[in-house]
Amino acid sequence: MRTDPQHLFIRIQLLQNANFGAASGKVTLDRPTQVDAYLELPFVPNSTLRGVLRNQIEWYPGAGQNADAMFGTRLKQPESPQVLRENDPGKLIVGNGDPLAFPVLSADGRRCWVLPYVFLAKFMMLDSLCGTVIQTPRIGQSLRQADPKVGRMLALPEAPPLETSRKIKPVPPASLGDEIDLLRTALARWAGDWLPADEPWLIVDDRTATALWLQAAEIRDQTALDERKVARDQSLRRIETVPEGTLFLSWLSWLGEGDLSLDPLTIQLGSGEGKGSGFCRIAPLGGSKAAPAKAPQPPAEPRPSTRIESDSEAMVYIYKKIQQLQTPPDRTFQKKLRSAIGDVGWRIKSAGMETALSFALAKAKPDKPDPKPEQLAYRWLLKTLLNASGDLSSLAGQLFDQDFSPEEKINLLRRWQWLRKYSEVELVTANPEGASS
Amino acid sequence: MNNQDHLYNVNLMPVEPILFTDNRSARAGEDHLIQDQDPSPHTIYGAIGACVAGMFGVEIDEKQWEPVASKYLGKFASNIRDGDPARSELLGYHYHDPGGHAWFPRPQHIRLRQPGEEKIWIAAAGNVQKVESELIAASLETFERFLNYAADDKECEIPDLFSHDLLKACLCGNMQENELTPDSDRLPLERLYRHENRLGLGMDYERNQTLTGRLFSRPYRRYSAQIDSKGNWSGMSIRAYFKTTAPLENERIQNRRIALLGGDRGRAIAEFESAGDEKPLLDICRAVQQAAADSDGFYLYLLTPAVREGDWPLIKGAKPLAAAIGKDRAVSGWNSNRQGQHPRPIRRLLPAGSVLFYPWPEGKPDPQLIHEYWLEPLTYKNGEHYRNSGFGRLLIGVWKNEN
Repeated sequence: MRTDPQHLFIRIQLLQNANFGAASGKVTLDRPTQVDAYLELPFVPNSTLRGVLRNQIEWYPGAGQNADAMFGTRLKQPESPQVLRENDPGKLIVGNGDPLAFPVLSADGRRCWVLPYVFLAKFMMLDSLCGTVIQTPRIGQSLRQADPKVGRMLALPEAPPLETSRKIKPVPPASLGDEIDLLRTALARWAGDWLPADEPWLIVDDRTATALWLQAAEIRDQTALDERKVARDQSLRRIETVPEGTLFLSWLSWLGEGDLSLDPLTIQLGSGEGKGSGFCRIAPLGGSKAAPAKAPQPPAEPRPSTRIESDSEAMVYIYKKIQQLQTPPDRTFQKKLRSAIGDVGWRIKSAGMETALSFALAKAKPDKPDPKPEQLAYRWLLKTLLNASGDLSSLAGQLFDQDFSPEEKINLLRRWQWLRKYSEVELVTANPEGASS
Repeated sequence: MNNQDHLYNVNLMPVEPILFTDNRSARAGEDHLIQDQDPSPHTIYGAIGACVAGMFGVEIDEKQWEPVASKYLGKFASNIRDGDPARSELLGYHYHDPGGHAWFPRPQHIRLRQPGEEKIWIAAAGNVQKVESELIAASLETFERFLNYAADDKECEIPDLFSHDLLKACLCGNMQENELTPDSDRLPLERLYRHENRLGLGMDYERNQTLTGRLFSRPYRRYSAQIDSKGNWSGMSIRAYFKTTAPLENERIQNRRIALLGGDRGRAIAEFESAGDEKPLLDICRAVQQAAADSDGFYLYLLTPAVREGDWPLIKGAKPLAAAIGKDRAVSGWNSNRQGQHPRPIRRLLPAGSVLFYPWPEGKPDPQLIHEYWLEPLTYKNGEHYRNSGFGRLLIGVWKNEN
């Protein structure tokens, strides 16, 4: 393990609202989101980020990535106690996602981006450890003049009217000399093209940022519905969410050899995954934009192509497959399918891809003329995973004794991962209340 | 030019919330209820030692230690109990704010009163009232018998820190009842850090489900940070005094490094600076030496917490006459030797700020004693335990018998 770590930022942008559960509560909220103890601004807990990244890399390791090396080894499962060993620490240290910018609406309905200067200054300080030195002391001193009653704001390019009771005094850009350009350079590096350049950016002091966050936070009401789509008693909840578009930066330290390999990803953070909350894109700074979603490929030969499917492609493909099962839904089949998806996942993890699919093929019994629901479920599962058309007869007798290529495995794992996610939300497990079996 | 005496001021500035616990698995049923506490001296010692080793590309690993790391840190030792002057030492530490002001634990014999909402006053500075013969019993007499102190119903027990000048006045025995100004005389603890409780869930990632009964809360400590007068980001830091076994080359210490602190390997920026050849905080030491002339005795002030080991410690063969000590606390730590990482045994500590009162040897003020014991570790009859890790480092004050 190296003793001079490689430091780098990753940027995280919410594609949907997110809630990062807080241990402390608020009187008016059932589920507040985690906020900084001093500034009461939202952040992405490093433990959340680390756990999701680990899961992602365990299932879809990219080139040069190893989850155990990056995040540490796990103790073996209790069913194999003879191979228990001490944990080795991971070589990747993940920091909290600190807020770079969050959106707020101006009084005239325009979206603006609030950038708390205290974090910009922190990012500059951390950047200096890597040799990227940008200092804007005059901007810092100007914003530091804010007091409890009057805030300070540097607007790029101009300040729209804001709906806040806090008085805010603008900082004249002319007084800041070339530091405005330095700041723009830093912001371009941190935000990339993930912040719209044609919308106002408002760089503010701490208290003003907190005041504007109270306006920006979205409060949602949720209630649970039963099988008949009727609200359950006492299930109303008020949930605080971080709005879509909010941008965070997390500072990573890599203690492994060479440079850290981290690809742009789409992941889910925080609660409410099944409701679509918390999906975000992440990328290391200096990387390209996340790969744009492409239309799913038309059904191909039973073996998938060696082109690696993007996560977005897999998501859309599986979503459409699942939706085809809903018109009309066969509850018995869906119950079996859910069970099959979980079973295959466990086998992939414990015994490998080839073994898991061999077992699924055996359960599918493709030659059996009058298949039971479970066999139908496994057949559907295999066809979906393998993106296969036809009746799987061509696979009969095969034992998948030829290993899948790494690219094929990545595609299979991505599809299975989205099957698992959508199965929890979309596939039923029980009959409606009052309905007969 | 290198610091030939190899003493360094080390600033550790956390850049993210830190989790300091005592490694106990405090479960209520299946839940973890982990308590927050100040870092153990050994945590600070280990973090700085790892930084020094890292300057030479060496990990905390017994197999890698020789010959490079041992030149600057001494031989690798897993047992922190046995003191060894041939190894590196942590001489002490305290807090530092972004404005460069030092802050220290309140001496426990200084009582505070809060008559109203905001203002805090010194209520009493305990002075040893009656000097009797050396105690024979193993335990000390009660606080009130020896220390001139009357209970005050407006007394408050707040964990505020004392400024450099206020501590100096305390150690010189010049305390009077006066108002303590926040951020000038005293630092409210919440200006240093705030707790940030964070929930955690045990997950079964294969099934994407939470594990039953694995909800826990961890009390991270977020140190305050601000934009300083120069317009830069700056946070509260720990100022430590660290002695190596060989001078560090200037090119090694000129760059800032990352130190890992506490659970989750929280990161702090470590900056090293040569400290010259004199003991740290020497201005306070000299002031106390000057105040010793008309004093009746001296007292030990724990700058860092000390491991309790039975009998009260002897100074020049004398037992203490009185003491004002805080509630002891448990600390653990982590043995990060790459050959087998594991938690350290739990130890109970006298907290920093505790004071123990002694008579002058032979009844005569001894300013030289003050300098001799300045930033030395608290010792017991049986030897210099825990010398290297920074436990029980002392400052010396003087007390005057008002009668």
